[in-house]
Order: sequence, then structure tokens, then C-alpha cells
Amino acid sequence: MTFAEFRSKGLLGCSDCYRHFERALGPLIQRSHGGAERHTGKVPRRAGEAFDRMQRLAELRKELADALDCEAYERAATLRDEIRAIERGPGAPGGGG
Amino acid sequence: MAGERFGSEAEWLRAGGPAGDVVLSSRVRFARNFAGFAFPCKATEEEQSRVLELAHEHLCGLDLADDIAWLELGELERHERSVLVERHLISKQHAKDKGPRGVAISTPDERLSVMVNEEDHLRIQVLRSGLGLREAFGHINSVDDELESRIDYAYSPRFGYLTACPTNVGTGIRVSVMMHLPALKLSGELEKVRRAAKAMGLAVRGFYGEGSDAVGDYYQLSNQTTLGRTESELLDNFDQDVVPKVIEYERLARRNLIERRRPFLEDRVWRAVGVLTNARLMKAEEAMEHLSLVRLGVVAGILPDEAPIDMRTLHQLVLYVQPAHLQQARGRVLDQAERRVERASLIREKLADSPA
Repeated sequence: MTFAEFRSKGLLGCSDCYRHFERALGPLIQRSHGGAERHTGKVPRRAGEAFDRMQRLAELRKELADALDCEAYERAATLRDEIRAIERGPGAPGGGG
Repeated sequence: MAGERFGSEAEWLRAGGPAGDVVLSSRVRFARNFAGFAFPCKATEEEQSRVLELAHEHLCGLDLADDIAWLELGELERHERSVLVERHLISKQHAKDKGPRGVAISTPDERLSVMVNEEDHLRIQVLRSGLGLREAFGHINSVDDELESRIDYAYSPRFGYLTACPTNVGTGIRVSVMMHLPALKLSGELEKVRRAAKAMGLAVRGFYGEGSDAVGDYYQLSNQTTLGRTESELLDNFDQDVVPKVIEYERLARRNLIERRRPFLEDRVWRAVGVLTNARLMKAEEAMEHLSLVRLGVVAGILPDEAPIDMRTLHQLVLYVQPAHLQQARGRVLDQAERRVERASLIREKLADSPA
């Protein structure tokens, strides 16, 4: 789908359109929703869990980097174990169901 | 015939319900798409069929209180699809479209209806009679949660639930109420309310939603914005703020008519009764207008209790004067001229039958 096609039909073709056309869609969506530009409502439970996991991993990785900077190797080791556990944990891609 | 499955126990036909004097029904709808498939407008026929299959499997497998009737629209006759539109179970668009598409409906109460492959893969809707948005929301939320536990929705952290049309993105929620506003119309104040609603960012539509006229003094009020606020915020704004105001305006207009213009009101109501009881030809639109005045008469206490008609029969008539239901009631296809005769005769029968 091209952006022009979207403009003429008013309908997007698939989820990827929201990524491909993000820059152009952003202002359009804002105008349709009274200035809002982000979703603040319900989060699908499973997508929510994946999202929370991603955020937690990002936090832990930052803490790990800081710990290594300060040469706090014991703390770093604990953090690394925690990161691995989440990466492999239930529900994670490739992890146990 | 599909229509036969659906009796008179449909939720929104029930009289009563909170604020039932003004609010006919409440509706909450969620727009959802399955991840990994193109949206209906761009999906190949194979993808559409696959989505239909998956929807069928998951919807009928839900652990819900009700039985689910599954209908594939391509297999229905045109008048059977029209029956579904008239019962507010599918949109006119869905009835008209081509391609693999269906609808799942809870029976016998028809509170839950899920259109598959309309503008989005799923359009889930829950109805309640009267002002019952909170209950409808609780119901639809559990259905949504259950579906999502079985299949991935198209979703992004920034834009929320992804929909074919960006005007639905985010929560994908549409909250609406069907209101009966005859007094505001009679006293000429309706335009003011319409403009106020539009100024608040609400859509005002007719009895059959998008693209329909406000026949019979029925107006559907709904939110337009779906992004940037939570479902609860949108619901509360509607439920606690907007709708109660409109209800108050209508009730005030009714009181004014009763207290200051009673002869005028009585005349309008009784003339409507007169026409309905005696006419030999009746168009649907005209029937709706007279029925609206009769409904006002019943609610305002102008017409004696239950006579010439009770509220429940009145609501059923509002449905049975519609073309597809009329033909279903008479058991045969009728052309326009025949419909006008039969509609008038059906109305006379119902008014005569009503407990008096």
C-alpha cells in the first residue's frame, strides 16, 4: 500500500502501515483525536507482559552497565543472572509455555 | 431462515432499563484486528477466509454464559441480512459487502454481536436496554480478554489497538446511546442539543447509525475520539456527564409540554393514535413518527396505562414496521405497495391486541 492509496480510501492495509507511515500518520492521527498522540488505554494482557518484560530488561541492562563501570562485580553477576532468567523465563520467546 | 432464530427476547426491545423513558439502549463496541493478517480491505480472499475460520473457532469456543449463533453472511439471502441490520446486529455496510464475512450473535438475548471482516477483522458490540453503559463495558471487556488469551491482536505500544481506519485507533472503543427525544423536537430545541453535542466532539446519528436519518425522534449519540484517553475516561465522560444532561433536557421539555401546552401535546399524541388505529396505508417513516408520539404519550401519562398500547409492544412495533421484519411477520416477500398495506394492517392488529 502507498500513502496515496491510504489517502484516497481512508483505510490502512495492515499493522505494518502504522510503522511505515508513522511520520506522516502521526500528525493526521493527532488531528483526528483532539491532539492526542499516544495510546493510554487498555493493553492486551499478553502484549502487555511482553512489553513489561522488555522494559524490565532494558532497566536491568542499564544497571549492569553501571555496575561494571563501578567495578561492582558481585552486583553485576547478580544482575546478569536476573537478565538471563527473564530472557529464558516462561512466556519469553523460546522459553517454557 | 436466519431471522426465525431470533425471537422477541432481544435485549434492546425490552422496555424499562435505567432511564428507559429517554434512553432506548446503550452500546459499547471494540474494533480489533488479528496480528499477522492484512486488514479486510487489503486482505486476499484466502486471508479473509482464514480470518473468518479463526474467528469462528475462537468465538464459538468462548467460555461465555450464552449460546453463540454463527452466521456466514454470504450464505444468507438478502432479506435475512436485512433482518440482522434492522435488529442492530450488523451494519448496513456489512450486509452490503462481498467476500468472506460473518457474524457471531449471542442467543437468545442478542446482547453480544461480533462482526467478522467488516472494516476491521472484529467489531465486537454489546447492547443493553436503557442506560447501561457500565454493564455493557464490563461484558465486552471480558469477551475481549478471553479472545485475546487465545489469539494475538494487532497492537503497538504507541498507537494502541491497530485499526484499518486511523479514526478508530487506540482504544478502538465506540460508546453510544440511542435516545428518544420527541419533546425536544416538538419544542424546537433539538438543534441546540445537536450543536452542543457536536461541540463536545460527539457524533449524532439516526436510528441505524452511520448514514441514517433521525427517524422517529431517535438519536444515536456516540464518542468520536478513541486515542489519548482511557476506556474508563471515555465511558465516564459519556455516562456521568453528557448523557445525563441530554436526559434532563428531554425530561424538562416533556414537563414543559405537559404543564404549559397540554392540549397541544394531547392533540398530537391522540392524532397519532387515530392514524395508527385507522390508516390503511403506511410508510415506515410515517409509522416511526406516529409511534414516537405514542411512546411520548405513554411515558408522559397522556395515554392510559397499557392502552391503546403497552411499551413492550410499542418497541416491537418499531422493529416490525421495518421492511425485512414486516415481510418476515407476514411470511412472504412484499413489494412496496403491499408493504404499505401490510404495515398499516399489522399496526391495527397490534393496537387492537394490546392489553386494554
